[in-house]
Amino acid sequence: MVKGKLIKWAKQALYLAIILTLVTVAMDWWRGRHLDKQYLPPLTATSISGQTIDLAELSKDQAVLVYFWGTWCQVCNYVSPAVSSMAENHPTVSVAIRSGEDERLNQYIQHHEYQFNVINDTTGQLGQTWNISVTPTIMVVKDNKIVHYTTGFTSLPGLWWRMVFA
Amino acid sequence: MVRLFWLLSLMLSLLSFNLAHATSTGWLTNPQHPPLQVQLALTGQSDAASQTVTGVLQVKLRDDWKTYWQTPGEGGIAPSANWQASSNIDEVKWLWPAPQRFKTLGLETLGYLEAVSFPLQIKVSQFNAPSQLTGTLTLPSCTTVCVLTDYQLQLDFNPSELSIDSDAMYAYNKAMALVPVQDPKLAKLDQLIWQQERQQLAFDIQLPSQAISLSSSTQVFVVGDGDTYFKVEPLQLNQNQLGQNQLGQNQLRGLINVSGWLGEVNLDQQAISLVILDEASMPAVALEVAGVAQAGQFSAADYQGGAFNTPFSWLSMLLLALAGGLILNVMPCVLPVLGIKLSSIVTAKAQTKQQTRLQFIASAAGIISSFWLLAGAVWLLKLSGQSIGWGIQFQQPWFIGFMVVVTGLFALNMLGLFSIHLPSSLQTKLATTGGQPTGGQHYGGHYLQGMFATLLATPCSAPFLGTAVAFALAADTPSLFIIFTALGIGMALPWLLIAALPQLARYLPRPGRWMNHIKLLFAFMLLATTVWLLSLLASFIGPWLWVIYGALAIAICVLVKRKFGAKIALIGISLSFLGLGLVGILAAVTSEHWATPLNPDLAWHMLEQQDIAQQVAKGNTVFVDVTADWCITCKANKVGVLLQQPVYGALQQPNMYLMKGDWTKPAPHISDFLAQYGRYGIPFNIVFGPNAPQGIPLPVILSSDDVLDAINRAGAPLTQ
Repeated sequence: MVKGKLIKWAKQALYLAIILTLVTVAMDWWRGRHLDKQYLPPLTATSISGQTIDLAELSKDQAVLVYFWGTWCQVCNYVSPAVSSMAENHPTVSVAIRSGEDERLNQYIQHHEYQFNVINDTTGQLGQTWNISVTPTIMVVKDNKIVHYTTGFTSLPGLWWRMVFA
Repeated sequence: MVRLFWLLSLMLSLLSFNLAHATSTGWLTNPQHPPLQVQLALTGQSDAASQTVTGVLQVKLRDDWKTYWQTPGEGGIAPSANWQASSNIDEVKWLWPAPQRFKTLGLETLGYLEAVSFPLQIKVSQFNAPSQLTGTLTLPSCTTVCVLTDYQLQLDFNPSELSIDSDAMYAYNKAMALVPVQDPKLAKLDQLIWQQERQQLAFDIQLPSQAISLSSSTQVFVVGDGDTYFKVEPLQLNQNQLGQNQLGQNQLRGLINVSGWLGEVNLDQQAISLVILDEASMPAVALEVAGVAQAGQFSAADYQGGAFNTPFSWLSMLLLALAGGLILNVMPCVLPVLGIKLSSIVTAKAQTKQQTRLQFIASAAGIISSFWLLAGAVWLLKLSGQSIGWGIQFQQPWFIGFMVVVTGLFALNMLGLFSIHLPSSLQTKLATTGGQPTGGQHYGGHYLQGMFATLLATPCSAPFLGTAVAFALAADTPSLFIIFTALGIGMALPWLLIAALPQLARYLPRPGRWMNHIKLLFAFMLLATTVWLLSLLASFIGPWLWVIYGALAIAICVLVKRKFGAKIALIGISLSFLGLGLVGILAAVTSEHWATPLNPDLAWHMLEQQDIAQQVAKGNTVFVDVTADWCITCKANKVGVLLQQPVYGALQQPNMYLMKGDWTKPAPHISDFLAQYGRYGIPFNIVFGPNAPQGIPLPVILSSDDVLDAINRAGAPLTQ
């Protein structure tokens, strides 16, 4: 009796999860419809902590979280902590678009205690080659192809499932 | 043919004329970001002596897009331009009209919505030489995402040969009116103290009373480093202080909490400007004062504004919340749930004390946790910057509709006309069983019952919980949750009482026929609630209301017929008609004995914020009443105080100006008005007058004395 009920509830929960996922996937598709997801421009750069990053290399056989943001973007204040938590266990690359010189950006990262790698795109050139003008933009890249793409506020669970289903 | 040629030549000449005098870029759009449009134009005005020409940079923003002020607030960046590539240009001075405050996801930003024009003052090297203003404009814009967009701007002109562009001239002058003016005769910064440990800045500005009228809508903005966020706390407005020159002075004091994006801030010896904006005056006034912050100590209380804080103490608020919650139990919507629950203990003999106790604790937990859910929802709304208030649920037709269905079905269920077969036994658990001999192992059902009671309470809560909830909404997040917890505990008190003393149940009367009568009574209470809720829908659906009433009545008849047969149904219908008729006749015959004839409604004007200052300037006293159809306390205030003597007479004096704000449906300008006074619910009444331009807010529940006293204080001539 109890078991039967549990199964019923579990079914309900599953339906809800499926609907939510479908809606998010549809929205992600809509937001990313202008992107070429197959052929990505190269992303090789040195992060502000001096690390050399090559996205094509890094994303071989594993999902990489790529995060475009800016110190001038207020919504990023909500997304960055989630990305920072993800960065502790998942490969993560972030690009700070037009956020000032390295020194200022470093100070900003340290003050907020963000854990992710930052490539400083001072002029916004990198963002432009990737055709990204909106921050925050989040994508999951695997084998140098975009698997998920979204913009705006995204929560930690939202980031997590996109990484898991990549 | 000749005509065509003539027309063509005319068009060409017009075109060449425009080209020769093209001192505007026209509206530019960056394909990467279509919601924004930008135009740079010269006004045609020039001054040979100072070698300057004036221009205006106009920005149009579609939908919710906003751009920023020079000090953008919490996150964000100011628009900027790089004019390096220009020739014969010495300097471009960018002027900033006073901004608006916005809340996005709980972050405060300063900027502009829809449109903004930035005046430019352009200094040239040689006044008689061809000049080129070339630059890259970097324009930030945000909604829930942010975009930086670049625009290439170029204007070729000769400063000495400009012609007037009337559109640009208008835009320039309109924008200049909101660019803050620095003039020590109008506003003087007396103190600017920086407290390092608290990261707090205190200021004291002196204003001759004729310069600016201080009111609740007076705002202060800080011009400072873009990487620092200045949070201006509620202002302290002191009217008509005697200044050093013994003339009437207004004093504006305030506290600013400072935080840096890049670490701790030290403002000692830093130059800081404050912008004072008074939008209530006509036209709006923006003043600027500048000073250097000096490190020092101060008592925050001396600079804190408290004029518009809720005049209730914490303890009284908690008690009020507890009492409000308790009262909910006797509301027509909730009483049936408690009643059924109690009757269930009487009927279920087999129960042990322990079982009864646990069941009631489970229901109490259900009540309290659903209040937490409500608190969470309210908190999220607040975070997202929505205008909120208790009672806004009544501005949502779907919410009212949903509650109509819930109370309606529950009522029919109580009448025994209808049993709902929700998935398995969920429904019976929710509403009726309580303690069926399931043995009490499944406390989930009792928990859900508690939640159901809270759901039923929501329509009844607005009129009675207004004050406590309004207080919670105005308070910080922990206080919000504490108040909602108190409401929940208050409502759960009867449940908790039974849980503590299950033997109390023994004193309840034996079950019998009377229970059916009580059930009938409950059913009618619920039906009355349904009808009341339906009447609220009137403002959304209009005449359809009567169709729904009719459908409801027919549904009841059909159900009665099905259950008890046509005979009983007919008897029931004729009895109700007869009853209604009798009540009507009795009421009509006897009304003069019991009804105090109510005075006709007063002549109200629509609430328009700018009208208040205008009327006060004329020497009138303004009485504002913010009300809504669903607000029962508002109706009580009106019937009990406003339409009764002596207030009724006082409100009809020739120098009184009455304004009414209707909050029945969502109205942003009314939500904003309430928020300015720290209120999140209604009723709200406030009196403005020559002696109180900042307003005297009245208590939620009005009394004649309060109203008369406020009118006298606001309107009385100045006593020296």
